[in-house]
Amino acid sequence: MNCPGQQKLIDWVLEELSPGEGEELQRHVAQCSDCAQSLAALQDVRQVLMKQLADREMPAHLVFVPEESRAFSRGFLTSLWRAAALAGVAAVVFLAIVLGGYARWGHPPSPVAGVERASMTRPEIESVIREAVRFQLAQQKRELETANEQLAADLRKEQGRALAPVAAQLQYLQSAQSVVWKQAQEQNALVELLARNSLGRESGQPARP
Amino acid sequence: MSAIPISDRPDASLVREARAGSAEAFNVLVRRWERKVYSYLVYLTGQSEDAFDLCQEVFVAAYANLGRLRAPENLRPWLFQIAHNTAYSHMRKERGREALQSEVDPRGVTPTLRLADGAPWERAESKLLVEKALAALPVDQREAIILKIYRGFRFTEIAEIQDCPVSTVKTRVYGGFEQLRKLMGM
Repeated sequence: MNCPGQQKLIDWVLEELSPGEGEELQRHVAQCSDCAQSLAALQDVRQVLMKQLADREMPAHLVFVPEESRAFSRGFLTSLWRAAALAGVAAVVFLAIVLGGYARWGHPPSPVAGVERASMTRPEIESVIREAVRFQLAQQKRELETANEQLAADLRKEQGRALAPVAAQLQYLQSAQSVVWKQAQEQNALVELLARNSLGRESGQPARP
Repeated sequence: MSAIPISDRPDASLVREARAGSAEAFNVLVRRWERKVYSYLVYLTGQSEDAFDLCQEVFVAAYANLGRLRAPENLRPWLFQIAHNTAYSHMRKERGREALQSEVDPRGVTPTLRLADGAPWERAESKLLVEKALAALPVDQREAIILKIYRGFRFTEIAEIQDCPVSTVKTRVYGGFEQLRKLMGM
């Protein structure tokens, strides 16, 4: 085999040769110092480039939010943002880019592109979570207190409704007791009068009214 | 397919789910490819901030045109084709066509950059020197090298991305590779 030339060597380094072509070239290079030297230099170039052309760190990640959950997401992210602001940390940057009118197929959700910060320190994350939990607990406490007040008012109303017949019965009993008491007094007065008359007759003195 | 966690599903499945309206599926694709697209744009434009904005544009365009992707299996070259179009459109606006066809100017590259005993390429400045060497290439040549070395595309795929014949891609890669070898003193 004659010397394959620089382009063939580059093809081999870039893995564009078929297995058969590669084996043939390898056999040649094993016997040709010039080609071996050229190949080594090209492999060095590739190695250096591969090492340097690595994935770059992104300043933030992209997030797409469907339209139907946008309201919820905004609320959620807003809460987080408020919590983060309290903690003095920018936890989530939400750039709302409404992409209406882009849909070309079916009925896909209109997305919102959001950007959230790629990395936060552990204290920042803990602070954000702590504030978010505190905010959530305070909200739940307020809701619970409101619910309790409402429940108490309902109970009072219900008790009022249930006790009304009892109160009427009690009033009836009180008035009945009053009538009985009055009758008892009249009877006592009558008995007392009869007794005095009876005693007056026995002693010969006229009975006092 | 539903038994496989969504983050482990292949691109083609996620493309089909995203087409059916699943934003979650599209987000998995975004998370899978955003860093690679962003890095490609950084190396191509040389501007990190511009690259981030362009990266957003790429995924917005990808979402909008997902229905036009004929073979969901070909998401990767299709995505980089969008990135290519987005980046070139941006660079034309920024610098004009002349800049896109600028001549190689190796004067700014340090000529003493060489492989020595051990691994001198580990040094921090080697990264900068490689970037300078890449920046010295015409943008078409630089892009062909990036797509080949960084992303491992075949010549045929690069031809699709760059919208040119395979022979043109080969010329760019051979020329660029040889130029880099000289610029890096190897």
